[in-house]
Amino acid sequence: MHTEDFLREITAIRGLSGDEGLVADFVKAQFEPLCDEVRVDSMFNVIARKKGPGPRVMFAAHMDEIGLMVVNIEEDGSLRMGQVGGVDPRILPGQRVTVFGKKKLMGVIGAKAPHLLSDEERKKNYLREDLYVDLGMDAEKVKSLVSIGDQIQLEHRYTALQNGRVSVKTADDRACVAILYDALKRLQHIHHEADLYFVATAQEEVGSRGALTSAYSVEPDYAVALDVCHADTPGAPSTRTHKQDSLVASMGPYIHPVLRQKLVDTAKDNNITLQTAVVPRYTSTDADDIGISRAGVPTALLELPLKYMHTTVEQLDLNTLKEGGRLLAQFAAAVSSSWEDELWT
Amino acid sequence: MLRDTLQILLAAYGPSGHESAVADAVRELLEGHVDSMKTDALGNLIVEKFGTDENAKTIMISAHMDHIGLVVTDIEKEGFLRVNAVGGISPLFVRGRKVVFKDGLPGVCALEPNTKNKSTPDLSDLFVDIGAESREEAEKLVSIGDMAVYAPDFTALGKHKVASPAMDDRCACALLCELLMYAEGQKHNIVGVFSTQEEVGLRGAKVAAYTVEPDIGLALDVTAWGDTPETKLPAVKLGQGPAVKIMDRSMIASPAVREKLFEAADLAGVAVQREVLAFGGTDGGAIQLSRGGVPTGTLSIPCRYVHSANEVIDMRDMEGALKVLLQFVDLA
Repeated sequence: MHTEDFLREITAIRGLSGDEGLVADFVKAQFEPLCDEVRVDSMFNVIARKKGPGPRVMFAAHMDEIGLMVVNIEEDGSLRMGQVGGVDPRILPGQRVTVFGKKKLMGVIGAKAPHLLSDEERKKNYLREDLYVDLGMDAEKVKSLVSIGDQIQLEHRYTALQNGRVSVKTADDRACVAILYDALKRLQHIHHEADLYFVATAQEEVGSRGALTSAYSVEPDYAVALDVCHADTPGAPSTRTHKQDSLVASMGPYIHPVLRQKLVDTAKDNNITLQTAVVPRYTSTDADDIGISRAGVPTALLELPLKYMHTTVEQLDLNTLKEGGRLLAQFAAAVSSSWEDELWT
Repeated sequence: MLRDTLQILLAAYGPSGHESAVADAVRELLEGHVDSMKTDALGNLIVEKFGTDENAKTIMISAHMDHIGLVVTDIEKEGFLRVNAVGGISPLFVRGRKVVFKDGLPGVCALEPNTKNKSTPDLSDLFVDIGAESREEAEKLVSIGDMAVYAPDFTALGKHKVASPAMDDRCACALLCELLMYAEGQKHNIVGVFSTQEEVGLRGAKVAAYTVEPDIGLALDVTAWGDTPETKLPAVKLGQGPAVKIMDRSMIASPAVREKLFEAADLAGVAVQREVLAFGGTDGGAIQLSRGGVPTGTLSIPCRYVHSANEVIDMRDMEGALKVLLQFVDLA
């Protein structure tokens, strides 16, 4: 499968944090022909191993998706929403959603018509608590088909823009799962000494919970977490955003400096452009939990710049994604048992 | 009887980190009913009752013994005590309340008069009056670091409801005790964990889960209510049955365990509610993330006014929960 098709397919699958079973099945099926063994654990983490005699290396990208959940059904059948992960309420009005009740139901999130707003209301942002899903059905019918706790998925439409730019929901972080896939394909033709683990993690959006347990299972010697960061957009603080056309290797106290340098060296050797970001404290990615698993794991972080994070039109550059696959494959091939002596010198 | 067990456990003193009196009460109740009991380094009481199936799974079921409270931080020269919080305790709930220290020493809580009109007073505006007339007299009775909890006060409300401090989570301790007493020849190994330090960050359950290494995890705890004036969420009501947790801040329940709970409720003929909580957490969050991950769920007892001195539950929800649990440990 082309990496682009992988991205198109994986971003369409339902997989809210904590219920990633369907995405896990897809990833397992795609990784299996490229690996020696693949398993899905009790948290729905997909753990794929490509064997080698050398150090154990874990590459992690999360596959869970933010979304909404039914928390109450009003007398008139409208659905009140809770959130799974950080959903920005400003993007909700105008959304088409799917409610996974006893069957799949289409619904819309509307808003009070602008004509009906008071001057006060006009100045305010919407709150999730004030909004609801309208299924267009009578209350009796709604109550027979929908239960509290049912998942609500925001709409996904894969939109190919110009110049290899793509807008799609859940590019955070399935675009990085696509990087894992791209790297695995390349590794079919590259020799590697390392014992490689490609992990699509669960529940990152609610606190890197899948990374915590999978890092414990894998017990890696080194790890690289892959996640998204913010790409430049008009008006955004430039100190916190990066060019969309190349990857970012973050540095900071949570990132192992020598392992990061290995990543930078690999990029240089292969003519891959890398930007630098400084993260002064925690990175809020899987890297944080993997780094302190068991007795500690030297961990680096590779980030893919993304516009409009946590919206349904997250935008990335496909070429940057593929460069990520190339870098990861080359890095995997470069890992050597001699690194052990170099880490703290 | 569930109600008697509950009353025994509610009477025990046990702020977070000082749960041994509760553990003693549990040990006494369970003597002769279980296969083993041991206490670990954090004070968790870990109780085993073996199953009969040759492929028995180990189910860890946790109920926390600790109770929110106050800790003495300073003694004023007039003999009044200044305090800080142990767990999530609000000055609004504490004001005007009677509290007790470990040896039964009573005190009453008051707010400084100039804070009377503050909508959200701080704990630093509060002091505890133990009747001492000087720092010297107070120091003979209390030391900095001593902890106080709401004074025991069990009250029946109407036909089915009961109010008391420490319902969170002694009502679950009572359920777990009764389960361990009445489960007979069940398929799976039950490891009951009467856990410590839940209110300060799920700390007891975390280490107990590491020790027990269970196949399945289940936390028993109270959950918030949505059935009193101007209260809307969660959509959980007292008297409508125990609630199966879908998610809270600490955990998204493992779908497999969640479905097993619904199945057990179905078999037991007990109506259950579905709970989505935007805040809060239970021991389940710690158990699920132990080692390489443990499939885990939470069964909740709906409880009004959680963390106040009048936590109200409905005994019908308790009876229902016990029936669900007895089925759950016997499911394939």
